[in-house]
Amino acid sequence: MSPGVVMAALRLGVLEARRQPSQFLIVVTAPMFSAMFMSVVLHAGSSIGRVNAVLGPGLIGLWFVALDAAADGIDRERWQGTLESLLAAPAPLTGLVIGRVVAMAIVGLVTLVESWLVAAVGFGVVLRPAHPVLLALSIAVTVFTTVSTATLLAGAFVLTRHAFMLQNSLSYPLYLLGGVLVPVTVLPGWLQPFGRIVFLSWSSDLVRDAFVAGAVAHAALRLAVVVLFGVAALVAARTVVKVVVGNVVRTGSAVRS
Amino acid sequence: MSGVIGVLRGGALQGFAELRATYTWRTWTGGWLLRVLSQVMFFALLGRLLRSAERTQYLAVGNAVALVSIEAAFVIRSMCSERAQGTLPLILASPGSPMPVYLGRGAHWLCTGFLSSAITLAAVPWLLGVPLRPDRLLTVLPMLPVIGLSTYCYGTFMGALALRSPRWQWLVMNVAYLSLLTLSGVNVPLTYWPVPLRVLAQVLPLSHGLSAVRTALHGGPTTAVLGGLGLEVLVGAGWLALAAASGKRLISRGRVNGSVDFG
Repeated sequence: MSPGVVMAALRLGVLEARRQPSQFLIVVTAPMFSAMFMSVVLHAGSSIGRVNAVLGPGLIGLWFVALDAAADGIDRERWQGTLESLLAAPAPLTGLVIGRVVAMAIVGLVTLVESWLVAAVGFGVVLRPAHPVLLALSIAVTVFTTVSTATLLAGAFVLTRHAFMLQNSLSYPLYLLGGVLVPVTVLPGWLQPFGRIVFLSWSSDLVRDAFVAGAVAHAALRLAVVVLFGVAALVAARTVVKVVVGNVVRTGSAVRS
Repeated sequence: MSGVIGVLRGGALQGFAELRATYTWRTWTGGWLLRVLSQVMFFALLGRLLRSAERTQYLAVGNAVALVSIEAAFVIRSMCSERAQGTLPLILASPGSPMPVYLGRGAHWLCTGFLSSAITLAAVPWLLGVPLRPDRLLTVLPMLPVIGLSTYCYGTFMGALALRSPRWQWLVMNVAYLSLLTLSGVNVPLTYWPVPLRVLAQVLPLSHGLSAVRTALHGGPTTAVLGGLGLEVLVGAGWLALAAASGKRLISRGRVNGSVDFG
């Protein structure tokens, strides 16, 4: 995959985002989610859940913008009539999607900071990481795997005229199974096994653990699991895109017949 | 009057046709319904994290009822699509008032919102081990359309605002319904918030209707339930009046300076 293609797509992503206020939607909505979660936790008068309430909107923000960039990017190319040309071009689609998603992932990271600020300024809850290095590493591997997974899904979005609908339907099921607000262990027993196969559940636990004092169990192994999810998604994305492009070349149509 | 009803009906039929073009029963059930069930569980599980069955049920009920409001707020996008499709100038140039068009245009969201709310209200508390009494659940179902209609009027006002600059429609829609989720007693009682926000919640849709639903689910007095529903209707009527005034202003200015076009 050419870094030049990724960088060109990243530049395009930034330029497009500047012209589309809807791309920054999450920056406005994330603080409202923070206020909602913080109000529930503080109203209960419990010390439990504060870390969850602060980090939840940030993790939602990251996943939301990545998926939105993948789905919206494909949808836009389709409605502009440029999708087929894009698929026929020698530059790989995976590189183009990665560039665009990375551009928006930066916006997603802003929501983590926003959420921290809402908790501190609006509710007087100041969180300090107990393990800053682990926090940085956890966020880095989460961004990598989020970008890879969104790229994999972009391949599926090419096959449907309703990428937005699919993206919309995937949001809360993945927030739930990904344990972004409450850990998978709090889900009903029958749902817990599904949660463990969603990379976000591993990421969410790691990011939350970075704020809890005391030793973090199996941190390196858990970081490796998230990276492994990312690598697997990237490999799968390349295969899916290859199949999709082959289908387009064969049938002349970029939708599933 | 029959003309107005005819326009309302026409707008509603168009909305239902769009819905059928977007969803089949299979994709609605496997896509949208799965999403809203997950959404309500997502919020309700915060109660379980806090080790409180009562809070879990409170969150499940609040977020399930809020779905009818969220989907009613989708009328904002339906209204803006008239501008994107280039049909807005034609509507404004026609002799009738555009308000019945807008009011009919998103009626399908009221129907899907009712279904989403009713199904999640029955399913999520049960799935999380905090079920509602079936007889009381049945009594609150007719309250959902009242809440939906009230929010629909609020959404129509917001839609009239978004029509002025459709590139902000997503922002307007999300802020419109997230404000309700935050302030209208969905996740915490209204009394939790500072006085100015509490006052604001009194004029927002959902607040009084949801309070009536909670009272009925707890077997509270009928007068309190009816009082809450009455206030919900009043709030909706207020938003409808504002929507009509805002729409009228948009139209008169658009007709004078030709500012209402594709966008």
